[in-house]
Parts: sequence; structure tokens; C-alpha cells
Amino acid sequence: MTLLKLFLLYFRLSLWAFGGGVVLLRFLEKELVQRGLLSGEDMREILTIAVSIPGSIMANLAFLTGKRLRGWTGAIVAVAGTALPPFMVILIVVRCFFGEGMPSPGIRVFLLGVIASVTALVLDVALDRLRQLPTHKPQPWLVLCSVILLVLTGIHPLVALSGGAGLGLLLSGRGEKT
Amino acid sequence: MTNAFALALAFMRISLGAFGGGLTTLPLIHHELVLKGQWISEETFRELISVAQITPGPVALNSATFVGYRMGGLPGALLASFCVLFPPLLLISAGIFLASGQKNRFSGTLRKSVDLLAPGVAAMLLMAFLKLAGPLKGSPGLMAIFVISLLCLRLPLFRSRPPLLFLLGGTVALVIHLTGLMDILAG
Repeated sequence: MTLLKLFLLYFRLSLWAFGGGVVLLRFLEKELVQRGLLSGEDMREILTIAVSIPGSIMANLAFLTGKRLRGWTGAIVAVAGTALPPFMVILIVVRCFFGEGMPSPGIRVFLLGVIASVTALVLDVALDRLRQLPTHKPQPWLVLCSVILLVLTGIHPLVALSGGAGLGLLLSGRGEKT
Repeated sequence: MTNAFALALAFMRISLGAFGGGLTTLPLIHHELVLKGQWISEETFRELISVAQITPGPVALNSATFVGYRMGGLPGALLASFCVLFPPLLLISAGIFLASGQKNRFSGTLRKSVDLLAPGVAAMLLMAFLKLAGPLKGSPGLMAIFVISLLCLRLPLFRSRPPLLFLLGGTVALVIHLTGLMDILAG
């Protein structure tokens, strides 16, 4: 695959990847794995890395698959192709709807409706995650509560999250490096 | 100048704290942009999140472009967007070098850290929910959209395409507002 083709592929996929990383993953599986450009095993390893490294799953996925396809240059080209559509769309939205004295009341109401639906999704995903925590062990719940308390005190969420991970490591009793 | 520097650092921190997908990152974005940097208001934050959820791309990148542009035009947007993308990719590159070609070593190590972060990620999502739920309290119209959306998420149609649901939520709010059925903006 030429670099230009690579760029255009990620550009096209990213433009349609409303809903972020999960959607891009589905697209990439169709475009790369089913066409034999990437093995299923490679894709699984890439996914593990992409979701566990911080940062947007989309950019991480693009970087890792791009690297596998065309080396480091491919990785950078894939990220550029993935980042450009959202970048342009937001520029257009800011310029058209968020200038002086905007957004207009109509847009404001529309966005409030959107946020009400987004709030529903956030709750849904949060409950999903809670269900996935092991119920027979107290440790995760202890960590959960401490992270919430830390955030409520106004501490930086990143510190709270790291604190939670550290506490989890201590409680798990396995002192070995993760 | 110092502002540009602060903005760049803020988005680097956001990118490094963005564990487990866009929604988990919301408390972090809120902390950096509204509480710490005070670059946008609570209201603009919610509008920004709405826009990010109905446009392509990750929410952290969307916020970077949005706030960067408002702070410093096109150069600001480029700077902030670059800073939110770059640090995690550097981490990945370092990981690839350290694992030095040994298959599954990098990903195996990471899998353990994901388990460690799981309760924290759940906590972040709950915080994100509390943050976003604020305007629902004063507005029966929005509350109705919220409850119906929650039910709609049971349907595979919306479950696999949340942005479709968001657009519908926005449209319903607009209709309620224009017909004067319920007051959306109150609250």
C-alpha cells in the first residue's frame, strides 16, 4: 500500500467513525484483516495496546496499524489521516456556530437535547463497567470509592486515577511490577 | 505566550490521563479546561461535549481543536490538537522499543495494568455522569429525553450507533422547544 493510499484510507474511515475507537476498529477489521493485510492475531494484540495506553483509542489504533503496514512513516501518516477529518469538522463548527454572541438559542436547545442523550449513554456505560468489577472481592470497590472521594476533593483526576491504581496494586498484595 | 504554553501542557496532561475511551476522559477535560485553565464556562463545556459526540473523532481531540481555535485561531487549534495526540504515541513507541520485537510482551504487560485501572475508570464514568446530569434537574423536557434515551440504548439500532440517538435527542429537544410543550432552557 502506498503512503498516499494509506493516508486516504484512514482519512475516509475516520470521517465515518462517529462514535470513536470502537467504530474505527470495526472498519479496520473489515479493511485490513478481511483483506489479509493484517492477521487477526496482530489485530488483537494491537487492540490490547490501543485500549490500555492512555490517549484516544482511534489515534492509538491508527498509529499501531499504520506501523504494521508501512513502518514508522506509515504510523505517522495513518495518524495524520485519522486526525484531519475531526480537526476540519470542528474548525467548521466553531466558525459557523460558536462566534460572537453564539450559539443561537435554537442550537443551544438542540445541544442540550444531545447532552441529555449523552448523559444516558454515560450512565449506561458506567453501570456496565461497574457490573464488570468482581463482586466477591472488596478491593475494586475500595479503589472505586477512594477515586470518587479524591475527585470530589477537587484533586486532579489524573492523580486520583493513579492513586487508585496504586492502591489497587497495594491491596492486591502482589508487589511485582505491572 | 504563557497562555499557549499552559494550553499545550493542559492537553498533554489530558492525553496522558485518557484511559479507557472518550467518556472516561470527561472529568479530566472538565478539570483542565473549566476548573484549572478557566478557558471555557460550564455551559460551553457541555456544548463542546455535545458537539464532540455528534462529530467524528475522539472527544479529547475535538476539545483540543475547539478550545485551541477559540484561544488562538488556527495556530492555537493546531498546537492543542498536536499536543493531545502526540504524548500517547510517544508512549507506544517507547513500549514497542522496550518490548523489542517480542510478541505479546508489550500487550501482556499492559493487560495487567488495565485490570488495575478498571475501578478508577468506573469511578471516572460515574463522575462524568454526575457532571453532565446537572442541567437535567431543572428541566422536565431534558429529563424525559434522558430517560427515553436510556431505554432506547437497549435497542441494537442505537446501541451500536449512539450518535444517531444523540441527534434524535437534540431534534426532540428542538421540537419540544419550538412547540412550547415544555421549557427546555429553564434550569
